[in-house]
Amino acid sequence: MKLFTWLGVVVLCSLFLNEKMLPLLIGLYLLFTCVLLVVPKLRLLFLVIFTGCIGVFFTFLYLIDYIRPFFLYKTSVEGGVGYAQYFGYPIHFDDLYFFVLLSIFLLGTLVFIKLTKRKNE
Amino acid sequence: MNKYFFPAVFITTVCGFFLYLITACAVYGEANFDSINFLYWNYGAMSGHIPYRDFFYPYGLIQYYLYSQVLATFLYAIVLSIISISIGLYLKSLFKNTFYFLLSFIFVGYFIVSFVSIETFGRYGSLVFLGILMGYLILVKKRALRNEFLAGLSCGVMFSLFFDQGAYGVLIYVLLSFFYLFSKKNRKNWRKILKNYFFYTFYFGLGFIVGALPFIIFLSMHDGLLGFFENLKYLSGVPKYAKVPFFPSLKNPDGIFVTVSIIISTVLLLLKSTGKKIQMEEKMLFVLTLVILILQYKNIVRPFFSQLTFIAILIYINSIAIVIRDLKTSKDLSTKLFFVVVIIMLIVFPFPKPTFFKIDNGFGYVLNGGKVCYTKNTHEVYKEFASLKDDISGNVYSYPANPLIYAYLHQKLPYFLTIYETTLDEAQEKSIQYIKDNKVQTILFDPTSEAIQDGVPDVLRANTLLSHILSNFTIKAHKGKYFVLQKSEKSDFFTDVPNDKEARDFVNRFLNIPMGAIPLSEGKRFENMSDNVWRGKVLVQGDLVKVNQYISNNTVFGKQVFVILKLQNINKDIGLLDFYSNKEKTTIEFHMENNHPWYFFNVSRVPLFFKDRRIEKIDFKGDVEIVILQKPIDYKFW
Repeated sequence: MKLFTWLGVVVLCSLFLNEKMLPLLIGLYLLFTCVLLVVPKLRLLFLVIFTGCIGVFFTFLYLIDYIRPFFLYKTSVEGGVGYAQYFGYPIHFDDLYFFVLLSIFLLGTLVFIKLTKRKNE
Repeated sequence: MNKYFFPAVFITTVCGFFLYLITACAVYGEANFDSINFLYWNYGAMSGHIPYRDFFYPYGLIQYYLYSQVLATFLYAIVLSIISISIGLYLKSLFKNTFYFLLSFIFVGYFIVSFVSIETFGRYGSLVFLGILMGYLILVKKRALRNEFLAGLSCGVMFSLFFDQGAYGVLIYVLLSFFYLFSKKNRKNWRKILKNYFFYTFYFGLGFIVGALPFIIFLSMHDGLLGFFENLKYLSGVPKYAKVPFFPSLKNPDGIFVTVSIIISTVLLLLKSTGKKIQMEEKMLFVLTLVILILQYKNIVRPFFSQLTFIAILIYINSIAIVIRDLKTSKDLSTKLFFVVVIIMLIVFPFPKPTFFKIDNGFGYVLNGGKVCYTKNTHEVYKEFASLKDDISGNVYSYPANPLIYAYLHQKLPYFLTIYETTLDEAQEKSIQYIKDNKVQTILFDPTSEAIQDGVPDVLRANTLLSHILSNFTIKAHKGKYFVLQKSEKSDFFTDVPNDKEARDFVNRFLNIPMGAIPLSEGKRFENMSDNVWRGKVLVQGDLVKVNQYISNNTVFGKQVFVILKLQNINKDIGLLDFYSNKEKTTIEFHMENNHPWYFFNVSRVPLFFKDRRIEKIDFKGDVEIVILQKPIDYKFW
């Protein structure tokens, strides 16, 4: 607990160094403290795998503007024209993309939890 | 605790909120495409218009009458008090130690006052309240028919007051019921479980109907019930046209916070789901996660993260409560210090301040009856209308969106305020009917109002409505940003143009049509369609010379044909297709892609051909094969 408290103080101090990075730093701090403090054992292994999952998840989330064009022009146009029709991208593609990423990420976490359950017990 | 404590707190908060609301006025910072609708609805409420019946309205009655009926203000104060108290009780249930409870309660209070407008808190807080209530009634407490009725009643009341939040509440109930059903450990007696499930659902439905009765009675008394169902039909079509890519966001602080809170809660729930017993804190976290995931859907219209931050805050505090509970070190100084550091972090986190409208008691606004405050910006809009008075005759229709003009002229309201809501085909027909029925003589056209179209040109968004306007009205005057179009069936919009540069430029915007990806996506549909399905007659097919020869020897009306391009060797992103007719040239700009040779154009969608006009020449730079098809009676191309 003390380690996480001091880490938090360091993150807070980063406010004076780089204000733009603060939301991301605080976000990551909150994310990792919450999750790691709940994991009873194998924290280091969990940290490595969880970081990998988060890294991949956030990278794909960030890359959506580059990925979206591969799925363009699947939209049919009827009646009036909306954003998706004009720019020619499938309606609800972004929602689906987000939930697919979230599901893969959670599934990975679940598999990890199941695999390490016996060791944890 | 004294038995009078909660009634006393409730009465005090109701009085506090009521006094605040009754003395406040709604401030509208900018007369932009969105906030202008709220002003318009205020006008509607003050002038006795019934929502759903008289015009399309996507929200509930309580917001509609908030500034014009004391009863609505009082009910709103009650709802705000119930939400506040339920959040307080929920926080109390999370922390057994007073230190954590007080700190989190003070922080949540500070956050709501500083970063959440009171309307956002009332509207989305109502769903948080429903979530917390149903979490307790269904997941935490033992299920009983009385509880189911109470859950249904609450959803029904919220449906009456806020409409969409009540509907989301029903969705949460359905999801929680399924969760409860599949979490039953003793699954052998399925018959009994299903029988109970049926009774639970029945009592919930009964409660919902009782809760929604005031809404139903009110609409029935004002002939608005049918209008409400019609309203639902239009509302269900909105996501299709409003959809913009806003969902995942790491580009702003609130987006990061909400995304992180969703990940924290789901990972925590997964970790805990492998444990032996799921405790109350996890159940409430599950419900709040459901609430935030359901509300994420609101991102369809605009980035919605800033309105969700207070729910994300509750999710985060709930997660921390689980951590502290599990560590069993809540009394340690280091744990308290950790919690303080976390709260400081949340305080310094750069959450955006609400920039949209909020209720405020501030001065420096132009007041209107003490209930609605306009900023000077909006007041300027009224001044602009005053300057147009000499040019306006008869009834007016505003295109694409400036509904304040109806309030200014005390005119009957159209069913749809802006072409944004008018996008659906049926909605466009209804707006055309309004123009006809009310014998509209003037169209007030604001070509600068682009925000409403999300980057979609107005010539495309409500093309059928625009077709009616440009076929029946011509330019009369130009003042400020507005063009005044006057009814004139015999004149021609494109040829009878006043002799000034602005008017000519205004006409030119309807001759240069950016069609975006439409010819490409429609071309792909055409390419994949078999000849049996397609029943159009080919008038001519060949290179540019052959096609131009055909249309110079034959009369081809633009309104009656489709033009299809088959391109070879595409080496550009943008294509330009020109049509010539009666000394006018119209250019269509469209997106091209290397591997897709077919591009489909419904010429009747091009403004120059809204009226019957011959195509006299076609021009395209590049290696092209052109097909001109006669339009069949029924077709499914845009």
